[in-house]
Amino acid sequence: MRPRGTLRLLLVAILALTAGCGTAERRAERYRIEQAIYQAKKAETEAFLGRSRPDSVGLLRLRDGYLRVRDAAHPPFLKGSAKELAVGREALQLVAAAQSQAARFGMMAGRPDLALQSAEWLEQHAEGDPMTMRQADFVTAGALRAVGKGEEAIERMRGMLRRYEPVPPPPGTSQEDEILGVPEMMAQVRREMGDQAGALRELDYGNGYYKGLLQKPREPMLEALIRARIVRNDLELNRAPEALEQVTALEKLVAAHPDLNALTPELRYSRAKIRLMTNAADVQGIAMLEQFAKEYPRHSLAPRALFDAAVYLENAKQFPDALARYREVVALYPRNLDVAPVSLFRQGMLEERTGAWDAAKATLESIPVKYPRTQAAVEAPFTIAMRYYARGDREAAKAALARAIVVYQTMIANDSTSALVPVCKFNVLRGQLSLGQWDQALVTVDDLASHFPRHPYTAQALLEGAKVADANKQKDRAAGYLQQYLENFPTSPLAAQVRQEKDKLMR
Amino acid sequence: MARDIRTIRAAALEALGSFRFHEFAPFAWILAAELAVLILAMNLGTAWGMASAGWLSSRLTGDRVLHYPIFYAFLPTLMTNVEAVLYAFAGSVLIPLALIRVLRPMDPAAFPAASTGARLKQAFFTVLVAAVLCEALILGWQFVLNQPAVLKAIRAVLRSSFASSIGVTVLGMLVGYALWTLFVYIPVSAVQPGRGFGAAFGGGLREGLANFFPTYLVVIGLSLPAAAILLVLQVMGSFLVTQIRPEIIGVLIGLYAILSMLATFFIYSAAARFHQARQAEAA
Repeated sequence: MRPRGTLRLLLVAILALTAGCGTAERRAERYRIEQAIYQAKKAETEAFLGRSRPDSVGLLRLRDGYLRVRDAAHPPFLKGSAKELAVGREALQLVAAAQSQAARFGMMAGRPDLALQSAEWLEQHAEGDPMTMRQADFVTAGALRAVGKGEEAIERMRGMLRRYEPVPPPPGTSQEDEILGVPEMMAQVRREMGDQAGALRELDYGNGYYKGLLQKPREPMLEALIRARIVRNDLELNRAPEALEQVTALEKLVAAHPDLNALTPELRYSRAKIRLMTNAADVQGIAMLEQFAKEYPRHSLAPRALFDAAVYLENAKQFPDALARYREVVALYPRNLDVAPVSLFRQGMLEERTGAWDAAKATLESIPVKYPRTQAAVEAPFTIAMRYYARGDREAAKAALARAIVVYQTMIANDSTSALVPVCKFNVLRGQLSLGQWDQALVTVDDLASHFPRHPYTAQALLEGAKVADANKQKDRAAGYLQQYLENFPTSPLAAQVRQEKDKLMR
Repeated sequence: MARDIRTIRAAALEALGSFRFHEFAPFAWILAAELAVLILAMNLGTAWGMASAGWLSSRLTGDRVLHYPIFYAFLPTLMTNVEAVLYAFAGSVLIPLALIRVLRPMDPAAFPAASTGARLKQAFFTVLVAAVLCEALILGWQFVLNQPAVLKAIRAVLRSSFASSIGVTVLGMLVGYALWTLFVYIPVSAVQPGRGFGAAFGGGLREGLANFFPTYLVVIGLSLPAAAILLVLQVMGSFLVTQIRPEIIGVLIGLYAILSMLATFFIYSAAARFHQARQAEAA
C-alpha cells in the first residue's frame, strides 16, 4: 500500500505542477521576448546618449539587437487554448514591434533593403494577425519609400487603406490610429517626388477615404478624429466651405460628448484657418492663431499655428512681426521638421527682403547644417546664389553656386539613400550647367539616369543633358539621353517632341 | 537594565562565537526553500520557472506582473510573502527544533533527545499563533505607515522625497523589529518542558516585554547588515530595475535572505541563552 500511496502522491504533484504548462511555456516565451527587447532598447539608449549619432555600423549593431528578439521566440504563436492564444498574440506583437525597430535602424543605416527583409519576415510570420500584418505593411511602405520606389510605396499604402479598419483610440484618450495618417503619408511621398499636384490629389483621395469611413456609424472619438483629418485636408486643399461644414459637425459632436473636449484646441485652430482662407489679411484670424499657439504651446498644431501666423503676417507685409514669429517657431520648436526648417528658410528670405543680407545669408547657410535631410536644406544653397544674381553680383553668385555644389555633394554622401538625393543631384547638375562645367554635368546626368531612371528630375536632367551633349558635339550621347527619356517616360506630353529631336540627331 | 544589557550582549557574542551548523540546519532548510523560490523566480523565461514562481506570482497579483523587467519590481513582494509563509508554517516546527538543539548542550536534562518530537508537537501551535500574530501586527503597521496622511507628514518633516523615502523605510524597519522583539521569547518559552499554550505564549510575551530594550538592541545590532540591503531594495528598487539592471534585485534579495536568516538564528540563539542565564540566576 505504501509504495502505491507514494506513487499517487507523486502523480498528483506532477499533475499539479504541469497543470497549465502550455500557458506557462507561452508566458515564458513572452518573458524571453521582453528580455531581448529590453536589452535592445538599453543598447539603443546607450548609443544615443552621446552627442553624436551612431554611425551606420553602430546602427546596424542596434538593428541586430532587435533582430535577436526573433531568437527568443518559437513560432507559430497563435495556437492552443484561448489563454495560450491571448499570450501568443501578445508575444507575436512584441516580436513584430521589434522587427519594425530593426527595420527602422536598417533604414537609418542607409540599408532599406534590410528593412524590406524585416518586412518580408513579418509578412511570413504574421499568422493572419491583422495588427502584425499592418505593421509589416507599414515597414514595407517605409522601406519602398526609402529605396526611391515612391509609386510602389503609395500603392502599398492604398492597399492598406482598403485592408485595415481604423481602431478607435483607447478609452479616455484621443490617440489616433496610424492608419488614419496614411493619406497624409501618401501626399508626403508625392511631395518628396517633387509632385506637388500629386500630393494634393492624394489628399483629395484621402478625403474620399475618410468620408467612406463615416458611412458606417463610428465610436464618437474615432468619428471626431476622422472629421479632424478631413478638416486638415480641406484646409490644405484650400476648401473653406467644406472645412467649415466639417468643423461645424465636429463642434456638434464635441458638444454632445464632453469626453471629446480634447479636440477643442484643434477646432479653434481650424476656425482661425478657415477665416484666413476667406480673407488672408484678417487680423483677427492671425491673432486667433497666435493666441492658440500661446494657450496650447504643447499641442501638436501649435508650431503650425505659429508658422501660419507668420506666413499670413508676411503676406500682409507686416515684416517685423512675421520675422519675429518665424524666429519664435525655430526657437520654440527646433525639432519640428515640418515647420522649423521652412521657418528658417522664410526667415532668411524675409531678412534679405528687409535689407539684412548678411543675416539672411547666415540664416540660409545654417539650414543644411541644422536640418540636412529637409527640402529647405535643398533649397537654401541655390537660393543664396539666386539672390546674388538678383543683386547683380555675378562673381559672388558663381562662388555661391560652387559652394552649393559642395553642400549638395556632402548631403548626398552623408545620406545616400535619402528621398532627397535625386533633387540634390539635379541641383548639382543645375549648378554645373550654370558654371559651364559641361563634362561634370554630363557625368551627373549619367549618374541620375542610372540610379533614378524613372524619377521626374531624371526626365528633366536627360533633356538638359541632351542639349549639353549636342552643344559639345556629342550627338550620339545626346541621342542616347533622348532615347532613355522615351523609354522611361513614354507617356510624357513631351514624348513626340523628344522623338523628333532624337530623329534629327540621328540624321 | 545595564546588567541585562551586559548579559544579553554576552549571550549574543556566545551565540556568534559558538556557531554550529547542526543548530542552524533547521533555519538552513527555510533558507534553502527561499533561495529555491528565488532561483525559480529569476528564471521566468523557462517553462519550469514560469509554472512555479510565475504561477505563485499570478496567484498573488495576476498576470500583469509576469513581464520583464517589471517582475523584478514585484520580486521583493513575492519573496516577502514566501518568507512570511515559510516562517509561519515551516518555522513553527523548524525554529523550535533549532532552539532545542541550541538549548540541549546547556541543559541536557531538560531537553533529552528522545523528547524532541513531543516537544516540537507541544511548541507548534504556540509558535504558529505567535508568528501569525506578529505578521499581522507588522502588516498592520505597514498599512498605517503607507497611509497618504502619514507619508505626507513624514515628507513635510524630511523635505526631500529621497530623504522621506529613506525615513519611511527606516521607520518601518525600526517599528517592525520592535514588534518582532516582543515575540522573540515565545518559541524559547514554548520548547521549555511542560509548557501549555497559555503558559508558553503568556510567559514568552511577558519575557519579551520585560527584556524589551536589551533584546531590541541585539535584534537591531544583528539585523544591521540585512537591514542595509533592505534599505537599498526599498529606496532604490525601481531605479535598479529601470536604470541599471533588473537582475540586481534578485541578487540583493538572495543576499538579504542569507544575512537575514543568519541574523534570525543568532537572535533566537541569543534569546535562548539569555533565557537560560536568567533561569539559572533565578534558581
